[in-house]
Amino acid sequence: MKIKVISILTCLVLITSSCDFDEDINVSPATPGDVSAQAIVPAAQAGMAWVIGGELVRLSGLFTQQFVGINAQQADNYRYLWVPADGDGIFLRMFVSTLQPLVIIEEKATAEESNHTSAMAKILIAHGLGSMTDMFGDIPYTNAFGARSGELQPTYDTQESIYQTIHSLLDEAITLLNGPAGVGPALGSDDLIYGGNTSSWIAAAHSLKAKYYLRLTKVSNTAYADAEAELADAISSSAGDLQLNFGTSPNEPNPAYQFSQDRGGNINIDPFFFGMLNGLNDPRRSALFLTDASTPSGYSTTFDAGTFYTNINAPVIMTSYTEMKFIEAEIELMGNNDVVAAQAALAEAIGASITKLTGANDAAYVAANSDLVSLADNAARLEQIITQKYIAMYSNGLETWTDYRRTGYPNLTPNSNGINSFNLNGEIPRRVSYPQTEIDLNNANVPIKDGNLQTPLWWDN
Amino acid sequence: MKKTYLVLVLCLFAVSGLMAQRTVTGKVTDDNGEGIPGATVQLKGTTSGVVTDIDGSYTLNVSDGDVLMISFIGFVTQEIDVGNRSVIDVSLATNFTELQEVVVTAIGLTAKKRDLGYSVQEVNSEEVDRANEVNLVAGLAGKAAGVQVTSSGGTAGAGAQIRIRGNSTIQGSNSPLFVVDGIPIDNSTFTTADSPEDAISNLGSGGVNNSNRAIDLNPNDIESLTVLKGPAATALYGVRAGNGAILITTKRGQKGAARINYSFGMTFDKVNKLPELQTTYAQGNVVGGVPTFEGPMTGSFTGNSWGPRIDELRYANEPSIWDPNGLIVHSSDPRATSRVAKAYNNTEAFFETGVTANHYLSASGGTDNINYYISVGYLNQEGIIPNNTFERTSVKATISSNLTDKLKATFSSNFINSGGIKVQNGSNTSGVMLGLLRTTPSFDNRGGVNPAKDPSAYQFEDGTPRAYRGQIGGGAIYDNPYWTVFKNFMDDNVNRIIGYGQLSYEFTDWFSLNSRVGLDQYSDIRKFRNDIGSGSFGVGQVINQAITNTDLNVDVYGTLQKELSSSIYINGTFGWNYYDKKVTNRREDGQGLASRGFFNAASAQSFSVVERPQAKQLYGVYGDVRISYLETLYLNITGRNDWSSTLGSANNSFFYPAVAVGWAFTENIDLGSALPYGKIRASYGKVGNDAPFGFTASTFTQARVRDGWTTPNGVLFPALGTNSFIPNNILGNPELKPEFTTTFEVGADLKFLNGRITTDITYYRSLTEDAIISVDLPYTTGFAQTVINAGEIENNGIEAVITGSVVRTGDFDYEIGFIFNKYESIVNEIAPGLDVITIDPFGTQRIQQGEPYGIFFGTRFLRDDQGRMVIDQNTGMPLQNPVDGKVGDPNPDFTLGFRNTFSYKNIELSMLFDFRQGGDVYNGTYGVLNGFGVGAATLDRNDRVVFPGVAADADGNPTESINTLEVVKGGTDGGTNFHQNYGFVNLDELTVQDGSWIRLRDVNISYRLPQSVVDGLPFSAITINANARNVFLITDYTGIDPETNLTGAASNVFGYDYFNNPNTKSYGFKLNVTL
Repeated sequence: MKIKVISILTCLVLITSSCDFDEDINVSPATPGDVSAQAIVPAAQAGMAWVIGGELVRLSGLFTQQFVGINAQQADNYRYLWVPADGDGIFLRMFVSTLQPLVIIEEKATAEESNHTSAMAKILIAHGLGSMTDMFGDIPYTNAFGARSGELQPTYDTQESIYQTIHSLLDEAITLLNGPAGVGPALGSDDLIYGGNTSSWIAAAHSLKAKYYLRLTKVSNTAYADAEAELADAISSSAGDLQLNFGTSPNEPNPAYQFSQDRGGNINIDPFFFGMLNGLNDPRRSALFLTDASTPSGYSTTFDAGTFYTNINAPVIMTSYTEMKFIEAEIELMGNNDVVAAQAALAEAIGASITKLTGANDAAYVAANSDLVSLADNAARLEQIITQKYIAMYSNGLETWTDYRRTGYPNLTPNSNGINSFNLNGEIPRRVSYPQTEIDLNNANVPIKDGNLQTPLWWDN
Repeated sequence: MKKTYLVLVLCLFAVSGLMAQRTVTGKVTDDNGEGIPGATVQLKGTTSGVVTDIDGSYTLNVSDGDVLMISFIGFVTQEIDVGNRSVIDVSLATNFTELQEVVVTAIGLTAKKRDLGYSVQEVNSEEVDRANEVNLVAGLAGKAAGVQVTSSGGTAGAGAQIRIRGNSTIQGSNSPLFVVDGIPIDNSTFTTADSPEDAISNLGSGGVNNSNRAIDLNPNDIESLTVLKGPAATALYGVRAGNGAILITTKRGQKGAARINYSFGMTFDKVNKLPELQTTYAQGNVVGGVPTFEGPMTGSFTGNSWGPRIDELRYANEPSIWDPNGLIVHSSDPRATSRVAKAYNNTEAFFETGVTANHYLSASGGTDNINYYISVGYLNQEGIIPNNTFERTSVKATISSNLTDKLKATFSSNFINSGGIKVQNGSNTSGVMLGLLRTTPSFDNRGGVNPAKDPSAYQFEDGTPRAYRGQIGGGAIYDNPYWTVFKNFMDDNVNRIIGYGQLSYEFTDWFSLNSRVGLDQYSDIRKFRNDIGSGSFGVGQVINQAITNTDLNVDVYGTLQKELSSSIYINGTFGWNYYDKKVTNRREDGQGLASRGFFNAASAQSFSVVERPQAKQLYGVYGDVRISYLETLYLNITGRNDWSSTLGSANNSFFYPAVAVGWAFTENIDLGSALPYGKIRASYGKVGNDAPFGFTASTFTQARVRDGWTTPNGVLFPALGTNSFIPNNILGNPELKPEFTTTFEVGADLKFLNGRITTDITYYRSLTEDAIISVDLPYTTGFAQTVINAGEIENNGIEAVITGSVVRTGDFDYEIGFIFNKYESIVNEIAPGLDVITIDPFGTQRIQQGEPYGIFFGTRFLRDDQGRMVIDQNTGMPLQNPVDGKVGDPNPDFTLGFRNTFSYKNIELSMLFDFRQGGDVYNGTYGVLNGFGVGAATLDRNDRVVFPGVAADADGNPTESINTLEVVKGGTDGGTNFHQNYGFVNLDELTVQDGSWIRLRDVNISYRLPQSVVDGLPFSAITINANARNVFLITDYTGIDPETNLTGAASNVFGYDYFNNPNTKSYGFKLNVTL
């Protein structure tokens, strides 16, 4: 207090000089100036899972008729009305709330040689970039996350170079994970996904590489071979899936659960998807749908808590053994033209999905739905693989929409109300438009300023 | 006193009886010998008298001993003995004391208005009284030039936003400083939005209508109120008055016997305007080209009312839990009976008559050395929304004493307890209006019972909610509004002390030293509820919040006043100021209640606890010199230097000066009685403004993981067995400098026609530079916002106050007053590379380079170069322009207040008309309600229309061929529905509407009981008053009263209506008794 009085007096004497207040007066005690990398890890991982398991799952499901939008923006998105402002939330939560923390984790971990923490951050950054580019196309990376150094209008990297970045980040991560942990704090209980298990992270990195190589089947001759090369080291059982499990307490919910609670009635299960599973008498209905004795199928289209993906503690799956086996099936068929091997992989994929969702396999269903050999041609076989993948990838990020854009399957009839100013031909969108915030604040760099949803991405050409 | 008067009257009667009556004539003239029409010539001590004619002549019956009293406004009253004269001509002298009106200026000093080179406006206690508003700020609407007031809703305890001369700052608050008896007080609005982030950013588009803390002041305690506008007037208050200041002077005791006064008022409020809704069509959707009844009883969750006509529906002889009349089926259904389904106007049925009771008791008096004023006030308000209340108790005492000849002490203390039950608002699925207005007319929110007494209206026996969209898993989709008001309310309880002590020592007759220490301290304890099954929080929620605020303000200043020579008079003030603010804000959000209605911390399954203290310190030194020369020329020079803790350490000191000049030209140029007094004035001044709290450093914050659809819910750390932090999404700026506003002002004070007309006109132009701006960053930078110094905002405007005495006889007076206000605020520049800042929660209101502050920007129709709409040839619907544009401007063209006051003997009637021209309002409610099919505009759903415009080609480009496609507007044939075609809130072009209005803001009739009646009673005066507020409102706006705003009083959003709670009109009476 005395010091303060003296300082005040000094202020009065030196009228134009500045005044030394206690440094902390203008900083809230609730918000520390710095924290450890380990303190950021759980929120960054949960953030990634929330974007992917929340808004991305809904977007993919509404465009590919797994969900029907009944109310609010979900009703608009369902009929392919997507305005730039609809993307603001996704950009905010991915770039600001998830990727920026991961970038800081990576910086801190590298500086203090927490090598495995650094690798984990690289893997999630790669998947975050992959998710964003698969919706929007070109996105900033090289020049992004630069606010601290005064870079306020990042340039955009082409989708092609983002894909290179994804693979180099994953390669760097694999190298780090294969090496020593380093002298810094180890990746451990802060890792909500694998609890610091490095071999699980290595498998996850290879799995993501396989996923992102397969995306390029329309533009790269080596896509199948590149993806195939990763499969040997990829996730080898459902126990190793890259997923984050949420909790049972109201403050640790799964995003789909929370959406069903806060926005009940905004979406339901789409009749197309509902009818498809009923037609197949699919054993996963008990895990994916609520029961309703009053309906012919015994299931309800209501989207609410109580299913595998909508329980409060449900996982958000970012990549999985099931997905790897579907990738393998597609590679064997389309890359290697080996129908038998493709059929075996498909059977394993469907079986893994059913077992994961219901706890037990259903051999009869698997046999009935993995039979590729007896189908007429590879087109029909690919349709069978992707249609089954469409069921298995329900609520797995953007997978159903990216597969649809890549292969044209499953065979969807576009929404008859799908014509609007941004989607003049009424077809299922090929991309979503850049968010209003980027158009307003980073206009010079945004590569496409119009809202046309039919402009294809680089890998969709 | 009374006895003396009686004796006098008796004597006069006695005397007059003895005297012979005769006539006297004469002429009343002014200094220049011109006749004064309308002057009163009265016999002293009687009520008999006459008024002079157009030439100033009069004729009056007198007796020899009579004394004539000749009076006229603006002149010194003269008394003349009649003697034995029969012609008495009188020349009246101009009354300059009346022109030497004293006003309160900064630091609680007083100054003669004529000495000032800047505009100052007083609002007296009568005006405050006439407004009859609970919230003092709301009571200022239409009462002062350059002041705009907007209530955030007609709910009890709702806040009101106030702006002086428009908005000048972007990031910081645009609210003026409130000063009570020289002590700046806090006028914060703390929100308990459903997430702490919203509360901090003050957006709070959901949550409840919170109070702004000036609501704690009891308007009855106010003697007068001065509005200081430009920097020349406010510089002494420093940065805190950068947006102007409202100086409140409270009542003081006068020398004399104790004067005890009691007043009691009752006011009855009704909702004054509601959006128009349809009551023809039922809940449902168009299915296969047929409008089909859907709702909870058909297993649907639809919110829409695009179903069949309600009169095509019938009750079946089957019960339904959703309707006590039975299951609703179409008339073609075999189960249909002859009982036609009912249509309900849920909205009109919802609002009640609000009642406010206001008691006020005061005692005052004094001796030569001490005076006192003590008051107790109690106000109890029940709002128009069920369960909504506000209560305020205030106790105030002010005592002044001359301790010695030289030393004077004043002590004042005001204790206030306020609070009540606040109901939810705006954009949240538990908002009152959201659930209420969207309710389909085929559903009865009341369930056939009185919800205040019977909860079966809004909940079933198992406690789950009953609402028009049904329930999913025991939780409502939208809450029944009765559920919201009876279960999901917030209560707040504020205990506040505003006090000060002041010592003044008069060293000489020309110099005195003063010190004043003021303290404004309050605690605000809140509990916010969401019961189990609520739309916005299905598992139930209880938020306990405790806010404390302490403002310490210390001034030490010397004043001197000296006549340097017979022609030069000097008046100076020099002082030092210290201000220290501490806020603590703790809240515990408990999620997952153990049982219904169990709103206690013990009930919650998990907690997130937030503790967000803030602190600020400010030092200032200041000086003010006023020099007058021959009471003709005036010069004011002011300067202040501030040091603020919220700025970067290298830039936290800043100085700003102001200078003002005035010339009373009528002292030099005689313009006769047509213009007996005229002064022109000019000022130039600068005022600094510091930053809001906590923007100089980048920090980390405890993580909350969620998305825009689930906020406030999500993963709230500590969770999943650990704690976690992420970088705060606001990038800190350690270089933050003060922003400066420079204002140039010219004006004139003129009194015409012997002072019967007075005008006070001011033109100002102010420029804010280096504005402290919270700029949105592209999210790809890794941050959402930062705060910088950039930008330039220009405000210019004209303010005029004109009063006129239209009729002035002894008994009947008619006075009028105009308050005119016109301003323009233009954003000249924002920041390099940045020309837009979005300020509202939905991204529609922005600050844009080259445009007025706060324009609406959004979606609109595609038009060709001739302005014709472009019609899609597949759907027949007008296409939306893929590029958004400006769709409205919330700044009014001008506002005009027109006060009429009639007085006849003891009766006074006063009316304030209020005009607003222009000023768009974003009517998000309208767009959404039409999308839901409940807005009255959707009655055109079956109309076959050809949208005027040109046909679009396949790429959506305009062609030259005129559109001829005929479509059903509401898509009830299975086609596209125009009202839903442009998304959830519809095209902004359609939802932004003109907010012009004409309203009768207040009417007051007061009657002072004649002395003859009062004399028989143990009172010295009795006044009875009847009043009304918002008696009528004429506007094209299709929503609620356009005088509304969604977000809190402290936010910079304005003209925003998104399911806001409606405004009120009221009728009341007041009784005032003086002992």
